[in-house]
Amino acid sequence: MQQAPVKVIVLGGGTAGWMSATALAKLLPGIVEVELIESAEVGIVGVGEATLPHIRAFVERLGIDEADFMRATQATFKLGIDFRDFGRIGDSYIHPFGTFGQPLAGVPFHHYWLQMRAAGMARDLGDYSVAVAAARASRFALPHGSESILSSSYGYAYQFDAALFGPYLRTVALGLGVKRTEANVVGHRRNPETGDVEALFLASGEERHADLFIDCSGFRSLLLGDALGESWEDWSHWLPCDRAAALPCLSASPTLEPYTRATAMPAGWRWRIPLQHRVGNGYVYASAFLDDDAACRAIVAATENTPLADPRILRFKAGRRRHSWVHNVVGVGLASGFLEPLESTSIYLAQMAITQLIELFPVAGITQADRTSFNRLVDMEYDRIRDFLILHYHATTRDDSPFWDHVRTMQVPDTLAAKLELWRATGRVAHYSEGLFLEQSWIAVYLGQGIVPHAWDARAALPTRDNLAQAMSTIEREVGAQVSGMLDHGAFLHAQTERLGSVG
Amino acid sequence: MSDNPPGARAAPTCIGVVGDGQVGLTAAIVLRRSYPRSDVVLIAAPLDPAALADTAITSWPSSLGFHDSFGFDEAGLILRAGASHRLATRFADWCGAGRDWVLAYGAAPNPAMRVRCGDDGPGDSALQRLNASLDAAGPQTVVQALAASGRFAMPVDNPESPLSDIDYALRWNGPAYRSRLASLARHMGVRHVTAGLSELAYAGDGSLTAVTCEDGSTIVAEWWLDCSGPAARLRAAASEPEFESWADMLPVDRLLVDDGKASPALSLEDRVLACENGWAWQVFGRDAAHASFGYASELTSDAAAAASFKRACGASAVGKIVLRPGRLRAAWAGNVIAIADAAASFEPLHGLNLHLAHRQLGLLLELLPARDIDPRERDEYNRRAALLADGVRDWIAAHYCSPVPRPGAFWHHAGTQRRSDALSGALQQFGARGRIPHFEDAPVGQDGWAAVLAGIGAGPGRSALLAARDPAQRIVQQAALAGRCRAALALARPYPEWLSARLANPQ
Ligand SMILES: Cc1cc2nc3c(=O)[nH]c(=O)nc-3n(C[C@H](O)[C@H](O)[C@H](O)COP(=O)(O)OP(=O)(O)OC[C@H]3O[C@@H](n4cnc5c(N)ncnc54)[C@H](O)[C@@H]3O)c2cc1C
Repeated sequence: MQQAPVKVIVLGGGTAGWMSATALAKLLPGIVEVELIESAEVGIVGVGEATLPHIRAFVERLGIDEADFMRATQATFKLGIDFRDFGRIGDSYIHPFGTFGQPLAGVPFHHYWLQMRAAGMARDLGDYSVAVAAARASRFALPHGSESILSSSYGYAYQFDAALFGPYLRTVALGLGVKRTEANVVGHRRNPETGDVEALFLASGEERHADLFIDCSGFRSLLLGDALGESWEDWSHWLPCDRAAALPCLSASPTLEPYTRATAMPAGWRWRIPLQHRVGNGYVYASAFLDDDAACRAIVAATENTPLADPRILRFKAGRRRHSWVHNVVGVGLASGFLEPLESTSIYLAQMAITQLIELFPVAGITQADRTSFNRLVDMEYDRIRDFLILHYHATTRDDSPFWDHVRTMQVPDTLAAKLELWRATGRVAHYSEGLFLEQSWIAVYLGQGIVPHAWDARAALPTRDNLAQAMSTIEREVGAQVSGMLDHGAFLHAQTERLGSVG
Repeated sequence: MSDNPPGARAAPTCIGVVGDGQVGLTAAIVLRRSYPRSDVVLIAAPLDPAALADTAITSWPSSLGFHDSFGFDEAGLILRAGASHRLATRFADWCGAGRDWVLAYGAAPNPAMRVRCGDDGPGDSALQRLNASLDAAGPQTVVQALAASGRFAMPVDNPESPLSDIDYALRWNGPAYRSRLASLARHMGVRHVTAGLSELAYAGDGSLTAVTCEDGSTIVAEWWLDCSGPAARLRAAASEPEFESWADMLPVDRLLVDDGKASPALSLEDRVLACENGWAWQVFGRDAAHASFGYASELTSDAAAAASFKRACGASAVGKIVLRPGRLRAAWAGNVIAIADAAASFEPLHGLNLHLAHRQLGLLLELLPARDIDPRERDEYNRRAALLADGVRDWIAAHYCSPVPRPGAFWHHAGTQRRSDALSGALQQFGARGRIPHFEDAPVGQDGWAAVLAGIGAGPGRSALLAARDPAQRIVQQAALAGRCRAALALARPYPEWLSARLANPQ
């Protein structure tokens, strides 16, 4: 009865490649036979240090122990992203992995907050969020589902060393029977009738055959882009950043922040990601507005820590392949598209694609319906994230540089314009249950970047000011109590030595 | 935008609700609760028998949560409105003689069987549970086991307990349910005008400003809910609203109803019996067993339908209802919002008409209009209300999509009707890969979809995840499932005994 396993080749051994290979081997044992081809000559992107909470489920589903994984990748916890100078120079807000306040009488919290703010009686929105308050205090505790509403009002992700994550997964994958081939792929052959990719040619002259190819070759997009010629949807008019100057540094500060920092710069923004052993830094910029040397100088000047190397320039473009699954090739990771790391979404996009592929895995031959379902989902995810990223640039009053003038005044996609209008007029967030960033995230960015609605829910004016003030200060006190019960983030990690990587 | 300083929008002074059946009453109550300082005026309209949400004596399980949200307590329904519990609906002979399937509420049981996707990752747990349960012979879920043995217990919160898998719906006595709503409305201060509509007055921009009733009273309101049934009297008065017909997607356009005098029955399971030319639906209430018969007028005469109805459950048809399946293209136009049958009309299986009305009201509360209507809010409401209505339509249509349909012209007709892209997609994905796509604002969740599609034999197809499961683990999981069902049965009591105890001790 047992069918012959489906032969899968994963082309590329970066984060996306090893994630794909590990997940397929772990979740479809006996169904797939996986070979991964990577080339040391080409190398990996090796950045991508900040993640989203979804990665926890992925790691868990692979049967990986969290502590072991954190130790191996020098990981820290992440409660959100601190955005500085985006809406206006001097502003700062945290987009948390968590909620703000609690709904009251069925009305979302932010309407009441807006009401109190108009009366000059609201504290910072973040004071009503456990995730934000904990991040600001650099404290951490694992969320607990059962204890109270507040203790489960947040989630967390990791900040890890991207150069260590792939190799960690590689060990797991090899243990699961994934075959690894070190080779440079120099060509391919397609079936003249079906158009499917039949074989890859290695530099050694050997050939490799498979039923399904997963293209994880990074920006090169060797199969999806080169071999199949799948067209590219370019989004650089909305997201003009196309370079990054990455700069790893020594960690020097006494506190270990459980969050990523994104600080707006004259021609883009820079990241700061604290890991156990070092701090990742980098300047994401638009080459149309800044040259590479100036970017390198700027990031060196801006970083508070001692650089461990010279800045390294990476090039990219915002956009995606029109479809990610074409013929028998599925693009995962950078080979399928790229959105700048402003909201740490790339690894999530890879994970999402892998999860979908596994659910739709073609056990008895690929059908067009499989591709269509897969592509619909991948496209939807990319498109919604795109709008959310554009919002970060567009929702600004900055006019201090040509870059900010451009993004402030550009015409945004209709889908985003409609969301903005609804928000401005009513304080409501267009509702979707699918996709990555849901209501609380949009609220965080709208309000964090100064897009305050003209009007909000009439029900927010029903409670008396005193009652509302009391309800709000109760929430704020409870948030404070929750946070003061947490350990310092660094202390939390040190108290759990099983999560600690080696020093040095 | 406006020149006003930012602020909360002004609450309406007065909201008018036209149609005082159970839908209008519920709408008036939830609006009063939301805007305690605004007048809510409920204006009578003759009850249209085709207003199926108004005549519904049952709904989907989630309606109970909605009841709770406006203080309409379940205990009162059980003690004073003759409510009883339903765990499942049997679709008898649905895909041919003796080929029954059962839609049981609630999730399949064994948590160990779920592929853990974490708290916020994209999940496939409903599917995994379904796949796991399909391996098992006999009851596949705790709720099915309970329904099959006629035993009942209230659900508990603790996920360790097998009772946490339980979910149920209620059915009740119609007049008693309505009268409890009417007293709650009174208690809440809803103004009830029992004289019907006589005249409508419009402003220059086409919005409805005032309604004059037959007793001469005039009600002025900023916006209106049209709960008047399929005639959508408020909406229709302005201009013929654009209607999207579902006549080519849902087969039933006629219903026969019985006299409501059949002996009451205590049963955890209701029944839909497939007949040659339609179906007979029996709802076993504590007041009576209520039956109705759905058929297609194009294929079956009323007399032939009545004969089938009689044969199927001994019922005599006393009423005939003409249905016009479809929905308004925009549920909300100007300052009038159509709710329930005024917005969407369709065959009554599962009591979904009332469920949809509750979901529409829930959506309205989420996007609750202020005194002045914002067109963007209206667009957002219409977008989501359309998803809700189309979701109901597709899920009901799915019942007729068996790959091997029952013989008979009705079933052939039903099985070959037009399918929406969403329905085709669900059938395709479930049939090929054992997967249910995600639907935004789905009125029925993945468990409900999986139960119907598996029930009609449209899958599940080959899922690689399922095929990859280790056989040994599979046996362990099945044993755990059986154990969980046994444990639930031991904790539950025969339903008549459970109910007597409940009635004797209302705590
Ligand atoms: C500046 C920057 C910052 C980022 N920050 C984040 C972040 O914070 N969070 C996040 O989630 N993501 C981030 N990303 C994205 C993240 O780095 C990538 O999603 C992730 O590393 C996956 O890359 P990949 O595996 O697709 O490609 P790569 O790492 O480029 O891997 C490509 C693989 O293909 C192989 N290959 C290519 N050509 C050949 C060939 N001819 N023969 C054989 N093998 C070949 C290579 O050897 C390599 O193994 C960032 C990206 C950039 C550019």
